[in-house]
Amino acid sequence: MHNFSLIPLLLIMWISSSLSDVIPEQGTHEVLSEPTDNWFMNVSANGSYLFDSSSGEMLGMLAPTRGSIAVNQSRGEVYTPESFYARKYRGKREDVIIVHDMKTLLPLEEIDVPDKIASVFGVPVIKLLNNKKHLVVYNQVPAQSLSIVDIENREFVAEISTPGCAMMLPVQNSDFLMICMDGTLQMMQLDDDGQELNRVRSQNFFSVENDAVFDRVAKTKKGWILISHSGLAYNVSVDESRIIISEPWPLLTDQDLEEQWRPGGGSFVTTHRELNLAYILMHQGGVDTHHEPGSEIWVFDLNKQKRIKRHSSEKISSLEQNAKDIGMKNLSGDLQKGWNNILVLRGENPKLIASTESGVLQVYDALEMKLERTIEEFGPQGLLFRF
Amino acid sequence: MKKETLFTKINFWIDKKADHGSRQLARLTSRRSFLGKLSLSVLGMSSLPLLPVARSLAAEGLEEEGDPKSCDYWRYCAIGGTLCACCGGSATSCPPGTELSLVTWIGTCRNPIDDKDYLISYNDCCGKTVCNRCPCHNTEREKPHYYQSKSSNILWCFGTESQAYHCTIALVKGEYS
Repeated sequence: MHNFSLIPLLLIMWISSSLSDVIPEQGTHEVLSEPTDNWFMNVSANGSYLFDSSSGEMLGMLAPTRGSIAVNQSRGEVYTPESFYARKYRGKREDVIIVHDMKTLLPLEEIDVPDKIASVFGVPVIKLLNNKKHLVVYNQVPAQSLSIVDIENREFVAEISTPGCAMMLPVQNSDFLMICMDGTLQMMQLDDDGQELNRVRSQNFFSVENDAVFDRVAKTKKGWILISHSGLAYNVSVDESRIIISEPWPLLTDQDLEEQWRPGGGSFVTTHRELNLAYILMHQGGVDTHHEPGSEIWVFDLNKQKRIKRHSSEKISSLEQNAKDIGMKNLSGDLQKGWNNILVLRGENPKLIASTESGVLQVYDALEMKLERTIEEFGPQGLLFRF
Repeated sequence: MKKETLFTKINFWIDKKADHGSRQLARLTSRRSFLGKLSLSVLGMSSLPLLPVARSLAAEGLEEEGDPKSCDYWRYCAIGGTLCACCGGSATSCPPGTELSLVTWIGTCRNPIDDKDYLISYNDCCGKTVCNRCPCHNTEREKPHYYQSKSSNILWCFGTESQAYHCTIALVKGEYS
């Protein structure tokens, strides 16, 4: 019996001596490196997921916000809008812009803004202006207005009423365009302090009832491209205090029209400014099908105003074997319905990110339209942003 | 706290005045008055039942069929959200403990029974987290969000104590002509 009682003691001594050979580990925190052109973020109200499209790896997450971000690389900051209620879904409302550090994704500061931030699906409600000093916040209560935030001094500086107009399309310096419900554009010009200096209204150039331009837009080399529900494209830009609107040019040929092709989906249009390319989700359907996912991605040369490539989601099934060969899991049948959101990234060899509603996200070589990888479980369906 | 009470009182006073004013207006204006039409077609405010034009177009006696828990139900032709009928409410009532939004967006849907078009007010029910049952997104005559009164991509919890979205109902406001 005495011998047996020694066994546990010896065992403990042996374990202790074994443990003493191991250096105890300490938990650490990852810090992000310098962002590359391949980084993108899936931004949703239930969390924003940062990925590297070249590896498919998730890099980090921003806590849930309203589903918009603005990235300020020069200051190493990311801004998000948020509304807090004292009792989660009720009680006193408090709206703020949260300033996050780009490397740690930690909130640095909060800037108090009027408790009016709009809740709109599928479009950003904050925009950083080209002077990188001011952030514009879209308000809707439902009266429409803008809050101007001074990022450098971390303060709200002005609220500007903009009845009948929404969206913020930064153009030169601290100027931006808005789309208005009467079929016009409105240019807002701010002074260095973020106060309204001037506003200019364009002539009426589209009919919101007959052929509205989408509230999803993309930036081009000189301005922005607006697409109408029927498939007309407008190039819009500014020259000092003048708004320039091009004649509409058609995305569709006569045969496309016969086959009832239309633009549509979530974030259905994205552009590569340096390469002058526009990628647009297209589907076949009638009037009012503007939210249908795209079964094809059409690539346009913006200089020539001409389609240069079509990529069909039907081709995805033939790519399935290829995907398996390079170690990907089976692609969902949902892909046959098409994509809901697309985003082309920056760089000379850009990647195109394409996602479906049910959680399949693909990374393409944007020039060859060749599938490089799929990223599964990329987070709740949200808006795709460059980082 | 005192400030909130004061605001509540002011709000109550404004509501009362607006209600009284609307009734006065109702007595003084014709059924097809410009104001009534403008209100119906542009503003889509739920104060419309106060106006005579809305009263005359009440949904009483409306013959209809369909399942209010189905996205195919005729009233939902321009709805965007989750159906309150699946969340403890109905096509015309908010679930318990939620608050009816006073401001809405509008659609025009065809009733398959009488083949007539009706103005539909889509009111959000607010004050709880999203009821993630029966999501439904139809887009007949739906417009981009810069055209507010015809956009379903906006959360319409306006004029409510809480702006948190829960679900949506569809009220027949009158025949479209």
